[in-house]
Amino acid sequence: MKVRVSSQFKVSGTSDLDSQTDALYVALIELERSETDLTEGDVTASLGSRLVGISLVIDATSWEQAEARAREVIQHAIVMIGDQVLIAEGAGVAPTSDAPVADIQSIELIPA
Amino acid sequence: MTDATAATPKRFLAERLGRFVALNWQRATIGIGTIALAVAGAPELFGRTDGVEYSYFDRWGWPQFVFLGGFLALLVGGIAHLKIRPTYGDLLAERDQAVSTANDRANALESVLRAIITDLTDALNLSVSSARASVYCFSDNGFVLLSRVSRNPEWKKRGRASYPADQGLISKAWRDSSAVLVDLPANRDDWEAQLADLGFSSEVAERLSMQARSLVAIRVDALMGSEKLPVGVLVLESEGARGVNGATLDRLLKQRTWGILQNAMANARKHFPAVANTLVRNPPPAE
Repeated sequence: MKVRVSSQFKVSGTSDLDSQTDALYVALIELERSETDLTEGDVTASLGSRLVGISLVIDATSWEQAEARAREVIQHAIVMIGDQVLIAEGAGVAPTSDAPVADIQSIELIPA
Repeated sequence: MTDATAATPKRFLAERLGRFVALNWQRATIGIGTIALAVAGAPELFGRTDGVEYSYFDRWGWPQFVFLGGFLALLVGGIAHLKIRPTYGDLLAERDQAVSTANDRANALESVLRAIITDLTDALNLSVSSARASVYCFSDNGFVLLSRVSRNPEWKKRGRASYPADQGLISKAWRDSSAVLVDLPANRDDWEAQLADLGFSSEVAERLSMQARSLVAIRVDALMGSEKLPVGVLVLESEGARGVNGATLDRLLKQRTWGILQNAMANARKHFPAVANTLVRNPPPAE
């Protein structure tokens, strides 16, 4: 089954979110090219609120697998930005270092 | 030329007037009779200036005819009013009985669905104070809560009477058959911001008592041959960021009780508009 995943995360700090978003989009497209189960990747950003949105379609055999794969892809794409962004999955924790934190705000899955 | 749009209001008014006359002619007759008697009696009370005493019917003028007409109207209207059945009291009693029956049916359906979703939450290990399950039917472009279970008495309370069709995960599940939302923020402000993306106004988001951080919503369909007729939505919520998730939906779809819930709602679907109205007007007491 195909599942459309939409995720939002908030990036802390004062880094250049615009260029990070571009890098994230390139990373997502690269993932899409190398992985056969990923399609329709897209990235949006609200620079004012520092919210970044990732959406993609995942081909999975179950909802559990789709969710796990979505989490994996999103984390992988964030890491691929190459800016040592830390990931805080919905925990809302304060960053422990100066590195920006991508705090996941939601992951939504609906049938594609 | 008389067109249909002009004729329809006229016919509507004529029907309304006809129905009003049919239902109220006795009262109208009594009213007319009373007024006639009062008018006929006015000269007797205020108009006599000649000081001569004579019987009311010694001479025949308009007051006497009005008096007789009023008396007859009062007599006919009064007898008809006493004879007509059902009486207004009977109709009120019937209405009360109908309201009571509607409430009983709504409560019976609610308790059946509550038993089913209790079983479902037990099977999904969601019988905990941080989770709740709610089942809604679709009625008049909105969702009406049919039944809700939770170990937490606060989360069990019925909130709004009905929920807009374009708000929340429930609307996505209604449109797309199912939806999962996880990892919502612990921070209340951030959480409310996420709800804005789901179509909630800030006022509504502020008032929501349960800060559900993960939700699973699935549409309940009635199978009509090869076609599916959407009838409602089951929503599972948890205060945990992943208290319910994709795995919950996978397990739910394999539950026998899920099939029972679908059948129960499919069989009861014709009653949903009436049940929804009853539940909106007269919500059942908390369990």
